[in-house]
Amino acid sequence: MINIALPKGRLGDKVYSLFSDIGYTCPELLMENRKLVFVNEQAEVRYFLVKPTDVGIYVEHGAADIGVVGKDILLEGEPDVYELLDLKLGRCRFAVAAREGYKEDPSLPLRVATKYPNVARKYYAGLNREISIIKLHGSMELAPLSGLSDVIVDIVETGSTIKENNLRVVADIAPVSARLIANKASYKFKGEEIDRITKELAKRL
Amino acid sequence: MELSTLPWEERLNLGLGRLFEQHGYSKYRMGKFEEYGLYMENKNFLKSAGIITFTDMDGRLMALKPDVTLSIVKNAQPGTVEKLYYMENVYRLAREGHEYREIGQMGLEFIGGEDAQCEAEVLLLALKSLEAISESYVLDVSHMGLVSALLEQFQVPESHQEPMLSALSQKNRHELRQRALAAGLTQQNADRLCGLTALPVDFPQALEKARAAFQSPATAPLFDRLAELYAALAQLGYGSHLRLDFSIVNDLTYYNGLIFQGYVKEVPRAVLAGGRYDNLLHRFGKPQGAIGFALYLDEVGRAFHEHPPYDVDTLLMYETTQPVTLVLKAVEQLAAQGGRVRAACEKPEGLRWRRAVRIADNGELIPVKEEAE
Repeated sequence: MINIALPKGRLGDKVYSLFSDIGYTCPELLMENRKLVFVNEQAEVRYFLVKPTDVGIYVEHGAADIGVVGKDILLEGEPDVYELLDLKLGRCRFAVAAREGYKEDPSLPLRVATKYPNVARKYYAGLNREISIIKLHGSMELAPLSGLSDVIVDIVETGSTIKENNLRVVADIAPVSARLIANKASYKFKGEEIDRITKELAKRL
Repeated sequence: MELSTLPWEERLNLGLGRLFEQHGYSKYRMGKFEEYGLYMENKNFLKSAGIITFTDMDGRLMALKPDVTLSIVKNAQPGTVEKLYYMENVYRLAREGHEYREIGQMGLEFIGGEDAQCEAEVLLLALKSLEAISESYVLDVSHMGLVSALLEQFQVPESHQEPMLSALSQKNRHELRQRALAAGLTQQNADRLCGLTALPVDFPQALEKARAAFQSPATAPLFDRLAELYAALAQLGYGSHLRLDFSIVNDLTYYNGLIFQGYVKEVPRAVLAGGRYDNLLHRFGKPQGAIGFALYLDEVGRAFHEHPPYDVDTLLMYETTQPVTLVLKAVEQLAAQGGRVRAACEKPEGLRWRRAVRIADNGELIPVKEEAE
């Protein structure tokens, strides 16, 4: 039996169809209901549907053997897991954005609004830039417009939201996409199966 | 003495202590605190920030021990050989970083252990420790010398090393390839490097595959040593539990040779970690080498914690009017049979027992009928 943590939502649905293509079917999962655990004894698979930000935690703690999670969440949470495959789904990037026409004042600490304080802190530490972090939970674009922050560190997909709000990307931090991750101990004891899954998934990308 | 009534964790501690004593290690005891400076100067060795500090009567800044190895190394006499093991509590910030925890740690250190024989012994004890914990266990083995030789062979600039090692430690082929190419490796060398993230499970096969990836002659003796260690341990029946795995990477400032990490099926994280840390001794101005490992027993304790269906095997009911000797004798008799006994005049609330008996005035034990619920 292999336990797989999938992120709830669109990405999870896409990933499930990849897994079902390689034999880990569980038709019940596609039905509209509120269940969070889905088991197919025949295919020897159990799926957990969890909040995307929690996938890494389920896998690190061994509640799930493997899981699929965005690189953004891996970079922010840094769970101690193996990252086995880039599934190339949900591609976007971490970027810094500022108001159109904004000019940075290097004599002051940079005020950075973000949902991802760890990513922002690491990025600016690498540049030796002093910053103060303002943690927000949504509507990031508002922060520089309202004067709450100088810049935002956020995920940018097409850049249209940024443009519509009169912002522009001033630096790219890292590419983001969905990754297959594995618990380290599970990999020692179910390594053959996990390797097979990784290979089969890689073929379908 | 009968030990089977002890909780699993305590039996494990005793068993491991006995194992280490049998191989000539003596128990090292130490105080709960140490001067903070020791940890400050070696904070990368600890890998976890967040040390509990306090000021002593002389104004010195002290710390509750977050680690045992540093104290052992500090106190080792230069040039001597010492075989030590310890069972101590250490104080660290929990992984999620929200609270301090007291963590039971057990480990052994072979100070001055330098030849292949010493390495084989420490690996064997690591394997036997894992065996004492679980039937399904794996010991991943790597060599820091090989990892650094590889970086040298491919002339990886210093600034690219850390991100490459971090990708290697996550078995992250896609990023390892990108970073290798960015560091100036050729396609072919990048492929060769990525091949090291997925070695065969079989140790000799993995060793051959890895040997082919390394071309520098300097690494040949390191591979020979690994092959020699494997052969010795395989002879004793431990071959199938050993894996060659380059994803275990440790700080080169402290570790320089063999490194290893142990897993058991029941625990989601490594329960054992160790290696050769000559560089740490050299930092303390001690010329000898050293090798050792630590076992993280808090994780193990949780996974194997027993939930027995009963608190005691026998509940012995007596009357306050009965002579003390009569009751005491009966208790001793029952305990000698190996079970856990509780004597009481009234049924203790919340206690679960396998059987209840009443003691008659002639010493006879009469089963007590359980009242219908």
